Amino acid sequence: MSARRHLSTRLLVTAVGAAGLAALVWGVDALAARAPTAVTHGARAPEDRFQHSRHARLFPFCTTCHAGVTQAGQAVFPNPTACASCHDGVIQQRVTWQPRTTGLPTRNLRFTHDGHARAVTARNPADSTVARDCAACHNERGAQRMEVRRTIVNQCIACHGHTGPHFDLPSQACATCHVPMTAARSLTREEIGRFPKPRSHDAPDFMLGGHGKAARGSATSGPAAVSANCATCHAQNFCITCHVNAPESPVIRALAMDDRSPPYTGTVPAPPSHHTPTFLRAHGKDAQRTGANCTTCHARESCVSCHIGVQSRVVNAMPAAGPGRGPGAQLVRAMPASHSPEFREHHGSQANSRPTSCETCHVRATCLDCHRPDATRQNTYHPAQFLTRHPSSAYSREANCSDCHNAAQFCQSCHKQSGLVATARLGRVGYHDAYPGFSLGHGQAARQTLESCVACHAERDCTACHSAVSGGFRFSPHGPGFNADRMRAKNPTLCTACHGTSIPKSR
Amino acid sequence: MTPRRAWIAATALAVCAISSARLGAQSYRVRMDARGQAVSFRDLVVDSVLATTVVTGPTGGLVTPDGYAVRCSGGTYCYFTRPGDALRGIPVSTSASVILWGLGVPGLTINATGRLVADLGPDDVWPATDPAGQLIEGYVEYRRPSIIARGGRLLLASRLEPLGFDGASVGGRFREGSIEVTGYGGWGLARAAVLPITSPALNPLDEFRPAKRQIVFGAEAAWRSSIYDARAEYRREVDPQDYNIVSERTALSVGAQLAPFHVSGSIDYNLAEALVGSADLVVTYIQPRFTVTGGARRYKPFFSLWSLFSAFSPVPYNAVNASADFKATSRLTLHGRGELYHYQNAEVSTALVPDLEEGGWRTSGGGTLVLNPQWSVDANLGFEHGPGAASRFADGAVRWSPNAKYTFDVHGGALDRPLELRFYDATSLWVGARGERQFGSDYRLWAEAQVVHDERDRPDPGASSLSQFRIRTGVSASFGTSADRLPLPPARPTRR
Repeated sequence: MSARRHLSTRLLVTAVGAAGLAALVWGVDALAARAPTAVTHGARAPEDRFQHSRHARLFPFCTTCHAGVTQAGQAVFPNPTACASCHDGVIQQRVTWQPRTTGLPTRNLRFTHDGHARAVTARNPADSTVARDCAACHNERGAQRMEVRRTIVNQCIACHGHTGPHFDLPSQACATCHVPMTAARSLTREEIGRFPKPRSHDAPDFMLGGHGKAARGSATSGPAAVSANCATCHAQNFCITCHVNAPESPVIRALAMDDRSPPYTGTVPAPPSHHTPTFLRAHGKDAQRTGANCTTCHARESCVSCHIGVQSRVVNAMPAAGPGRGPGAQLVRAMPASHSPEFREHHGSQANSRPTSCETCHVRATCLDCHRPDATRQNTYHPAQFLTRHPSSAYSREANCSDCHNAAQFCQSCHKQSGLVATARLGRVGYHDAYPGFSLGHGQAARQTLESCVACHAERDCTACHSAVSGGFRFSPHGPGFNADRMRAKNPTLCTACHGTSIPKSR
Repeated sequence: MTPRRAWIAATALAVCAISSARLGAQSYRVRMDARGQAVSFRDLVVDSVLATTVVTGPTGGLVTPDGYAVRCSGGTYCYFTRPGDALRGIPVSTSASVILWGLGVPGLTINATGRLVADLGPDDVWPATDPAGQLIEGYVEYRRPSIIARGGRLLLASRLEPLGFDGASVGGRFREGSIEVTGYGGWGLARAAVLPITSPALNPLDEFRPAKRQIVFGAEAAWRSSIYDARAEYRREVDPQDYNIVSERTALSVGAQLAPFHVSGSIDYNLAEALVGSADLVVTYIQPRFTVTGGARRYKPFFSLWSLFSAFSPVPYNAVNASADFKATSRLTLHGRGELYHYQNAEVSTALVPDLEEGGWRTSGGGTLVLNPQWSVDANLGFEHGPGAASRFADGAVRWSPNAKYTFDVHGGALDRPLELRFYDATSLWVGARGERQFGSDYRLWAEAQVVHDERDRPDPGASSLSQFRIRTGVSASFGTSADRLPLPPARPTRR
C-alpha cells in the first residue's frame, strides 16, 4: 500500500511537473509569437483593445465614432463619455478606454484620412463613395463589416497599382505611402533599426553600383537629388558610414542628417577591378583618371597607409577623413611583387632611376636605417650573425660596403679593437700565415680586394715598399687602367706622395 | 664627463629640444628609437719573445715555450699573436627623426634626423660611438609642385653612393613631374659617414687626411614616362686647399616596366681616372606565384683621390647572377639565388703566393613555412667560395605571434668559415631568442639574447675566439600631431 501510494505520488508529481513544463513552453512560445520580431514593421502599434465586432449592430456607420476621418475639425476617435452612456455600470459594466492622443499619420505614414479622401475624390469625382469606403482599407476581403483591422497594407498596394508583397515592391514604391525617415519624428532609433530590408537590396550589384543608381532622384541637386524611397529608411548618417565623398555627392547631401539613423553594419566588398593582378601597379593611373570614383570608399588616409612618402597630386586631391565623411577603407600595406627577398640586393638602380616610385611608400628614414646605420642597430639587411660570416661577403664585395659603412669608422675601428690591423712592419708578425711569403706576393690579392686590405692597412704600410721617395723600394703599384697623365692633371698632390717633386711624365 | 652621463644628458637635451621645437610649428611628427646591447669578446694582440727562447713545436715550426707559433725574422725578437683580455662593450644609442610643418608658409618644413650614441662599457671598444652627438640630416625644405629647395645638412640619394654634405639643393619639376632637374653644392661629409673627413673619429689608423673638407657640387637630370625612366648624374668634389680634384664621376640609371618584365640598369664612369666604374643590369620576371631575376654586374672599387689607393689599380670583377622566389603553396615560400664572378686580370706575378683565387661563387636558398597565423618557420642554407674567404652556413628561426601585440622567435645557426690567407678556420654555432611587444601602432619594445660559440681551428694556442653572449634591447616610438597618419579608422565600419 505504501509503495502504491509512493508510486501514485511520483506519478502525480511527474504529471504536474510535465504539465507545468508544457505550460511553460507553450507560454514562452505564445509570448514569443506575440512579441514583435526583428522583421516586423517597427512602426506597428499595440493592437487596439476596442472590440469592433462586438459593437457591429450598435454602430451601423464608422463615422458615428470616427467623424474626423471624413470631416475636418472633428475628432477621429470618440469621446470616452460616449462609451459611458452604455458602460455606466448598470446597463453595461464600466470600461476604461482612452483614445490615442496622437492623430494620424502616426509613425512614418504619408497617409491622412481626410487627405486621402480628398485625393481619391479628386481622382474619382463620379464615385465619391470610394473615399468613404472604410472597408476598402480596414477589412480583409470577405470579412464582416466590423471585423476591422489597422491598415491592411496589401490593399493599399493593390489600390495604388503595385503588385507583390509589401517588401518585394520596387524601391520606387516606398514613397507612395511613407514620409522620409527624418520627418517621422516619433520613430525611435531602435524602431528605425528594425526596418525590414527590401528584397531589392539583396541584388548582387546593389552594394557596389546598384544602390547609387537607385538613389538618384529627379534632380541633379537640391532635395530632389535623392530618391524619396531611400529617404524613407535612411538619413545621411547611414551613407557616411562608408561614403568618403558624402559632402561632394549631391545625392547624399540631399538627405538630412538624423542621429536616429543607424549606421551601415555590413561588409563592403572591393570592386572586381581591385582583384586583378595588375591593380596594385596600375591603380595610380586609374586614380588619376577616375579619382572621384576612389573617393567613394577611400580617404587620403587609405592612400597614406602605403604612400607614406612624398604624396602625389592624386593623393593630395583625396579628401581627408573627417566629420561628415566616411572614414575610408583601411588598407593593409602590401609589398609590390617586385620586392622579393632578393630585391634589396639590386634595388639601387631602380631607386636611382625612379626615386619617386620609392617615395610613394618609403620615407627617408627607411633608407637611413641601412645607409646610415647606428652603432647598436639590430641588423635587418644582413643575415643573422653576419659579423661572423662577413669576411667571405666583404672580400668580394657581395654588396658595396661603402654604401652604408665608412671604412675607417666601421671596418678599421672594429678591426683595430680586435687586434687585426697592421701595427708593425709588414711581414714581421706574419698575420697572413697561410702563405709565408705573402708580403712579397700579395699583389694579386691586393688588386682584387684592395678595399679589404684597407680595412686593416694604412697607406704607410704600402708606401714603405711602393714609394719612390722616403726610403721606399720603388715597387710600382700601378696596374691595369692606370692613367698617370690623367691623375696628375686632376690631382698632382696624389702623385707627390710617392714621387715627391719628380713626377714621371707618364707611366 | 663619463660617456654614460654624456649620453643621458644628451638624450634628455634632445627630448627637450624636440618638445620645445614643436611649439613653433602647428604640426610635427617624431620617431624615436633607443637601443642598447652588451657584448663581451676577446681581441687578438701582438706579442713578442726573445728569439733565444723559442723552441721547435710538434709540427716542426717555431713556437714560444707555451706553444704560440712565432715568426722570427733574424732579429732579437720573434713575434706572435695571442688572444687578449676579455673586452666589454655596451653601446647605446638614441635616434630621433623629426619633421615640423605648419610654419606659416605652405610647403615649408623642418626635417632633422640625428642620434646620440655612446659606449657605456669599461673598455670603450665599440666603433662609431664617437662623437656622442651625430646629425645625419638637418635641413629646411620648401616644396611646391614644381620646385623643391633644401638647405642645411643634406643626404643625397645617388647612384654614386649616398652623399652627405652641408649646403643646399634646388630642384625643378617640369611637364607634370616627368622631367626633374636638380643642382646642389656644399661642403661634403666623408663617405658613408655623418662626419667630415677631417674628423679624428674617422682616422683610427692615423693616416693622412686632407686639412679641409672637400667642396662638393653636382647636378642630376631625370626623365620619367609611364614605362621608361632615366636619371643622369654628375658629381665633383674639390679640395679647397689646392683646388685639386678629389673625385669627378658621372652615372646613368635607367629602368623600364614592361610587364611582366622589370628591367633596370646603371653604370658609372670615373672622369678623374678615365675609368668605367661599376655597372649592373637586372631583369625581373614577375608572376603572381613566382619571381625570377637574372642579371649581370661589374664591381669596381672606388677611392677618392686624396688617398693613394686609387693609384694601386684595383681591378673590377664581372658577375652573372640569378635568383628566384616561388610560392609553392599558400603557406610555403621558397627562394634561392646564385652568383658567379671572376676578376679581371690583375697583371701581377705572384710566384711566392701561387694559386690565389681569381674568382668565386656564392649560392643560398631557403624557405618560409607559415604553419598558421601564429607560427612560422624559416630556414636557410648557403655556400660561398671566393678570394680571401669561404663559408658554409645554415640558419633557421621559429616565430610565434600569439596576437598582434606579441612576437617571439627562437633562432640559431651554424657557420663554417675558412680563410684563404691565414690559418684561422672558424666554426660558429649560435642560438638566440627575441621577444617583441607592440603598444598600439606607435610604440614597440623588444629584447633579444644570443649566445655564440666560436671555435678557431689552429694548431697553436693562438686561436682566439669570438665566443660571446649578447643582450640587446630597444624601444621605438612614433608620435605627432599628424591626423593623416596612424591610427587609421577601421576597414569595415562597425556599429556605432
